[in-house]
Amino acid sequence: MGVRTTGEDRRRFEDVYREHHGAVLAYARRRLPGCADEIVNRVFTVAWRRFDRVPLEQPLPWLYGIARNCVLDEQRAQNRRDRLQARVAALPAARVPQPCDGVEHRLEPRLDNVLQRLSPSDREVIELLAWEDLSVAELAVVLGCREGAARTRAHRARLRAQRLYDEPVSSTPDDCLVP
Amino acid sequence: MILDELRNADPARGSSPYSDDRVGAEVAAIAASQKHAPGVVGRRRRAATLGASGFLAVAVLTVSVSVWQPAQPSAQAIERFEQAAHGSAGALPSGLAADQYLQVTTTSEQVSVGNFGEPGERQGDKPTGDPVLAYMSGTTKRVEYRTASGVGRRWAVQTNSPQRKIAGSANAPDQVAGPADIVWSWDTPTVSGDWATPTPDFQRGLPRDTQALRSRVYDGLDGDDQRAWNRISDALNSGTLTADTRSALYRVAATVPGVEVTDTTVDGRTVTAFSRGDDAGQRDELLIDVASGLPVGTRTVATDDTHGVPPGQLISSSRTVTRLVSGPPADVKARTLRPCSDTVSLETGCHQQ
Repeated sequence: MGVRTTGEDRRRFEDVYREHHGAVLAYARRRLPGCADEIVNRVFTVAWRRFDRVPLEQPLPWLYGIARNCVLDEQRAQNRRDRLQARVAALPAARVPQPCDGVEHRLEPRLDNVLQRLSPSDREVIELLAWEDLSVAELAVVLGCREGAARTRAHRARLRAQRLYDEPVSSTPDDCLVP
Repeated sequence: MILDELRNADPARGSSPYSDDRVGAEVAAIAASQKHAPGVVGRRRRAATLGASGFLAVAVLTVSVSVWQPAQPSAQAIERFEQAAHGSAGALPSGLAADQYLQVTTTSEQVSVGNFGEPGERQGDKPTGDPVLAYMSGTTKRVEYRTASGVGRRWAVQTNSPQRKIAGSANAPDQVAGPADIVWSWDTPTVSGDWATPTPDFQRGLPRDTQALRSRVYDGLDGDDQRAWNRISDALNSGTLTADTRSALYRVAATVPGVEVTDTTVDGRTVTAFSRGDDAGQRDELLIDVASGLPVGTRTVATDDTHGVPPGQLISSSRTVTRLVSGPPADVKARTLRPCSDTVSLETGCHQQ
């Protein structure tokens, strides 16, 4: 039979969930720590509803792509709730404080400074490369672009991040003037 | 390297997945509550398709019709690059010495999101009142004094404009002061030249013949036009190319298929924006004043609503101007932070011995 039965799908779905929910949970905890469980639930609900579209041989980048949209949607929904009639909407990873975002991650200042100074889209790429450890092909799946475009974005984001990381940072210059 | 450092600082490090019991319960709940359409095997859609956004378009930049020819370089691209190759006014001299000081001025603009809610609106970790959100645009001007090779002492003066509100809550201020101006100085012991960091030595090692230089640009890329374009635009963006390298690179750029050409206006003058490849909701443009042959800077523009901003919205931009100077001016030296070794204090922002 060429058609999968619901029972088969149910077992496959459980396998996918068991194997990958930890990675999706980590993705959500890095970005919306207060909503992480909610995000995981939404991602796998989408995966179940569209199970025929889940690339079973390599589902994780696809799941990350869904998780990315869920995080963006959550940020937008919160923006709407907050009656922000924005003509310019949320940039990804712009880190608007979230109502459910109780925990805030504190990176060491030098790294935090680099992430703050990157453009939101560079920052997203850098985080995906570092934390989700994605290849260029996987990055393309998550961002929904061609592999060449993903390679370009990875290349440029890495270049800009490294430059920011290599140069000194400053906050209160008055303390440091030459006497 | 930045990626390794970030990996070590993974905020989700050590976070554990769900227990077996919880996995069972979650799977059962999802599978029970949702029915999927069985047996439909369609073409897989792109994962990142987003719902329609209801946001109004603002500040759409004026652009003319683009030309897209993936197979061959467009006639327009060839013509513009050839024009740029001819012009070389205000260029760095070909015999640029490694220890010649350059003044590199970069002016960049960036859109960001700010929260202006009162701290009292938070209870414990959770905010109890509405965040007061606004989209702010600010400009940073950075003047760096450095040698042409990049080796040696560098000085940088950074000034920040106030951030102006471009959209968002009426309760947010119309503008907020930017960070304080800063002058600092540091040593760079070695720089290895590459396409993104074209030192005088690196440039001297490049052929000037178009075919030979093209082979060098494509070296190791297996014919990948996009990566070749990246190398060329990185080099043109560096602000340190001499006139002859630049002219030669423009002629190579004219042979790269698929480069889009758009006319646009920057600071009241017409410049040409070159870009290549679709870039997941944004387009990185390289701006060149083809009449003078000088690269003007870069610009990133939204092309769909992936980023939540309307198509045409400027996401960020930067302009770079390079001049030959004898060294940093005395007032910059006088204002410089205490010069020390290579470690930097994050509390005080100064180098420490």
